[in-house]
Amino acid sequence: MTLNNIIKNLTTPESNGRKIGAFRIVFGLFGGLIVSYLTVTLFAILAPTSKPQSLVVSLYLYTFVWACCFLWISLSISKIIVILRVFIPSLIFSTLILILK
Amino acid sequence: MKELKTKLLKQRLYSLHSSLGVFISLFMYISLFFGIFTIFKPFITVWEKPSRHFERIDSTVTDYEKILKAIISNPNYPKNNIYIELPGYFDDPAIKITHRFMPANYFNPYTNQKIEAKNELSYLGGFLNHLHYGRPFMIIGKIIFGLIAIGTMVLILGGLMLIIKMKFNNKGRNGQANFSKWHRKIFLYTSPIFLIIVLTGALMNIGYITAKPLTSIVTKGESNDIISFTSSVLKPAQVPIKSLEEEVKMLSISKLIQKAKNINTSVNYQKIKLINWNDKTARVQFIGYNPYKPFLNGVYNKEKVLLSAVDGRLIKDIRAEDSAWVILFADAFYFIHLLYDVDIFTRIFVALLMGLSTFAIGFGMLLWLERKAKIFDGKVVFYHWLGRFSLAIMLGVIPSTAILFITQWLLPFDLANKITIQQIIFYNSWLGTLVWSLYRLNSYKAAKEFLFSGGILFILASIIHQIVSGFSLFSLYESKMFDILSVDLSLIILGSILIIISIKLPKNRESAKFFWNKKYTRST
Repeated sequence: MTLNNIIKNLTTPESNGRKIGAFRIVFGLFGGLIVSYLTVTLFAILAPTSKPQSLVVSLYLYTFVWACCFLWISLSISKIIVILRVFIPSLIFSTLILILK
Repeated sequence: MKELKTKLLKQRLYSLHSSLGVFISLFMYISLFFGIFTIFKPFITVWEKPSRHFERIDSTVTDYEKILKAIISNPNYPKNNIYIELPGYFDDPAIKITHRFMPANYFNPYTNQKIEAKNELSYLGGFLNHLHYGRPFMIIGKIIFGLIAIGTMVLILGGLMLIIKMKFNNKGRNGQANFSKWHRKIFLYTSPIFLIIVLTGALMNIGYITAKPLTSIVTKGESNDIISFTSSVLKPAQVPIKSLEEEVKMLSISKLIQKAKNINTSVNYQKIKLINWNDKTARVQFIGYNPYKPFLNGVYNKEKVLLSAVDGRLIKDIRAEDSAWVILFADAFYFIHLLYDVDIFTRIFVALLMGLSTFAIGFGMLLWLERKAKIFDGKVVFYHWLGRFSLAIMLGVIPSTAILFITQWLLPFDLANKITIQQIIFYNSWLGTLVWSLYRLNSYKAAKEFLFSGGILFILASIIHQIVSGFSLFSLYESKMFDILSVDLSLIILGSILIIISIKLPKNRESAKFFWNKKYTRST
């Protein structure tokens, strides 16, 4: 399989969605964890309240954000979007955290 | 293109919901099933112990001085920050005296004697709680149940999206359509509370474990323990009062309770904190739960009244709404899950909602299996491993839990390893139901047998308790042990309901088709 084939395979949406597939589940679960973790970390850094207070809020909402990210990532139209929905927010959020930290 | 997109989205949403749901529902059912028992844990922990078989006394008539004297006469016992848990706290009729650095002491409020229950081996309520969140498998079980909780949130959100995006009609005329209807209808109404409960469950099982990097980044490496770091806002420390080392006579605690009750009339007092006891600066703090402010107090937030123990004057009257917003935020989340101090009505309400949710999970599972079974309809007996497995998990758990209740009173209390033996019997009988459901070709019959035996065993558990403890239902009523009586009665009622259900359920696939469509079959 050449690189071209892989890219083609990733970018074309599957003809039917009756099977969800391990690819989306794994990316949804672990990608969702990374994206949601970085989101709440960024929130805790940016929040105008005191550190312990913002930590409480982000900790309490983090599992819920994880579930939302799981749904958002695994329901993408094609596989490349699944990958992009994990990597683009992760990259942006982690750079922001590194800058603001 | 847009049409294809929405079609794909709907298909994916549906397949994600069904494939994830079938896997998760088995674990979620276990968690919900034992969770319902855990809601009534305070009652079960009183029922399970022979040393707690006495009437619950009113907290104002007890002679606390006598009990305190027995404790404080030990010169090594600290005189500051002693906690007294009043009779009736967590439905325990005993008085518990604790200190951070000392072992807990229990007292009988009638005789004022210490309850020595060293050889009373009993861990039923706690074990049911552990089964609720995967604790028997230690950290791995906790993480698995936490992931299940996150998956359940995905299912709830996805299910709500499905209801919005897809057009379901409620006029189906076969079993499958009815299962789908009930699965949707029940979860649509229980989902708001179910979502909060699942969220806090995921938070307690996974949130705290994975919070180390988060804490470390936000605090810039200052700390990585989120519990101790956030306790500065969730449990703000009180400024310690310096003792004057002058011994003064204290006022009677029962009189002080009466006084606190007059100051804040709507609170159920549960705990007393003694500060600098027997000193001139002595203070008493009364801590309680206000049932008129649900979601605002009960976990971190408590209503408190601080009185001077020397002259009984009011020093501070702290109400639930006075706390910082973070504490109210935390309590709003935790309240409905933990149900620490709440009254029996809230407990029954949440238990009913969660009981309905277990049915909804069951209907979801039946819907999935019915779709598989339809292919083989009339040709061969439907035998799917997941069907058998879920039969053992969902219905096999009922007789094995009943056995857990039976062994609690059947095994002698001083038997060494009693708790281990009890749990081994429970696990093996649960495994036995799996063998039975694999063996019986007609799973309708197996389901009836599980429910029927479960019903008989639950009633038997109550009878064995009455015989071994020596308290019949009538004598429990006469000696006003209503907490224990209510457990016995609910075991009998639960058993009778299970027996009735087992008789009503269909015998085979043919009668099942009629059973799930009574309305339609009758009208034609």
